[in-house]
Amino acid sequence: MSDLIIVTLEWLVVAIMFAFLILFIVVTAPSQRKNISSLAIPLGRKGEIDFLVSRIKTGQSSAVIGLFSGEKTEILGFLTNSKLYEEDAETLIFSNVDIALRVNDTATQFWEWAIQPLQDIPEVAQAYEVCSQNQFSDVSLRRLTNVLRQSEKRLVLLLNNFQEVLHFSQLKQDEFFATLRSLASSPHPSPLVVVVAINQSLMEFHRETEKLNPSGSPYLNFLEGGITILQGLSEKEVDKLLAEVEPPLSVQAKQSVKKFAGGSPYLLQVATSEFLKESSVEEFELNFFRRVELGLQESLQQAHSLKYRQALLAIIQQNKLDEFEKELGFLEEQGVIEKVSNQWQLRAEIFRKMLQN
Amino acid sequence: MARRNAKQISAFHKFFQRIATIPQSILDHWKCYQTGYVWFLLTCLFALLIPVLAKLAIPELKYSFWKFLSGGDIALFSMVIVTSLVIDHFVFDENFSKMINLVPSGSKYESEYMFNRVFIFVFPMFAIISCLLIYLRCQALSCQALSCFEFVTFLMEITMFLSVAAYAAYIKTSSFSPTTKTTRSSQASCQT
Repeated sequence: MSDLIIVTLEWLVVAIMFAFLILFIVVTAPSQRKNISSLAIPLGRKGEIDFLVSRIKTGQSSAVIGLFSGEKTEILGFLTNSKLYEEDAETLIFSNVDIALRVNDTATQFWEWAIQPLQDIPEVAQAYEVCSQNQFSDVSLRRLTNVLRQSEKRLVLLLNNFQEVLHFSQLKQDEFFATLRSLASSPHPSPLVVVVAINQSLMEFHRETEKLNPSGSPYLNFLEGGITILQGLSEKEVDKLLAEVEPPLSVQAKQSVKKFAGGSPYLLQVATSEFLKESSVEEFELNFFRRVELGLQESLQQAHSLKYRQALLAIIQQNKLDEFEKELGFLEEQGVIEKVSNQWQLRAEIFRKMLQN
Repeated sequence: MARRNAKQISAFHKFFQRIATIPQSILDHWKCYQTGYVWFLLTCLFALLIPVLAKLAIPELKYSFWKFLSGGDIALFSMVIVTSLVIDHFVFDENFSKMINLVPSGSKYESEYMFNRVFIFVFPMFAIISCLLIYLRCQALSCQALSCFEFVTFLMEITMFLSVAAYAAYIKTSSFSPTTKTTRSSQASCQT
């Protein structure tokens, strides 16, 4: 009998040791990788995505600042993937709004459109109805967010092309910005998370809106802790990224991709995928240009971006560069231009082709 | 009542979901800490060189494979490895303490991460004590004959050897990369 107990105890010890081994492996395994790596992360933006996901998970708002509309749209779209949020996914409700498409909206129409997904959530459907009856007033929106908090839900409002709001007279109002700020900055963790995609710095945005409320604090100051600048990559980072492309690119192909896409992960992604399709450099050049032309035009033709377009033209013509100091700094940060021997020059040659066209 | 049942089902479901993810976790762990495993393998090979060189130098030397297994040499070797890693990282690595501040307070997963952090400290201590006990047990039972060899003891030795391999791989992978000094960031580096 005592032998049986000893044998049982020995096997129990083996089982405990084995359980410890498995537990250690589970604890140290990169659990988030299981979800994120299986998704197609926008190239070179892993860090930014991780940061934005952690902000959303903790109920904090963020701003995504970058030049390329296509890249910002891709990132906002990517953020709506529930697999990124693990167990929190059940509590999140996403609403992706492109401000550029809401030209004629009043604040009421904007809120009606933006919080529409709440209609289908049983816990808040009633509060949404009341809010709708009250024309989405400030007070009714606050009540709605309180109901969201009580029902442990969180609305993630993804606002693309937010700089366009400055050109829509019906939205460029003190009330609209004040409501957005008060709802998003309600006690932590907020039931309303705002992720704003914008192509200018928040400081510039503040400057352009300070006339609406000269004595008040900046409207987007609640985003200052969560600024994500979609920076360009260094030469070394670009080389590393291109070395990982499957199937591998030839040396000539890598040089062409770097020449035309510069340090922008977005352009690098498009250029690489184009090169994998085309055999010759000439074909690649033509097709890459065709593919990004519209997107670049869109990025540089929005009201605020005209300055970037002028700054790029100034570089090509090498004159009046002093007038665009701020813009040049921004474009350098985006990996589009670089300063070589104290002289500005294009890093992404695709812009020369586009502007000359 | 229904809500309570729903919560219970949910917890039950989550438990099985976690069990189901173990194979994936093992695969992830292996992929993530491969560099550390290479380090561990090379260390083992280096340790094995000693008997090989001894055998080459002294051809008359008798080296018994069964004695190697039953004498607790594996447990002793595992204990030496894990002890040296613990001293290296708990005593001399100042960044190791940064593991404490990995998750913001109030986070939903705080308790889970707290458990993970504590476990990462507890695990090597458990390994050292277990290896020591296995070695003492092997020494007590040690004999040349095959009949003396205990399968359970061998299993214990091998389990602890694998545990130490996993721990060493984790620690060495983290310390090889300058940007991966903490658990979370080392995981992040694996994601890229």
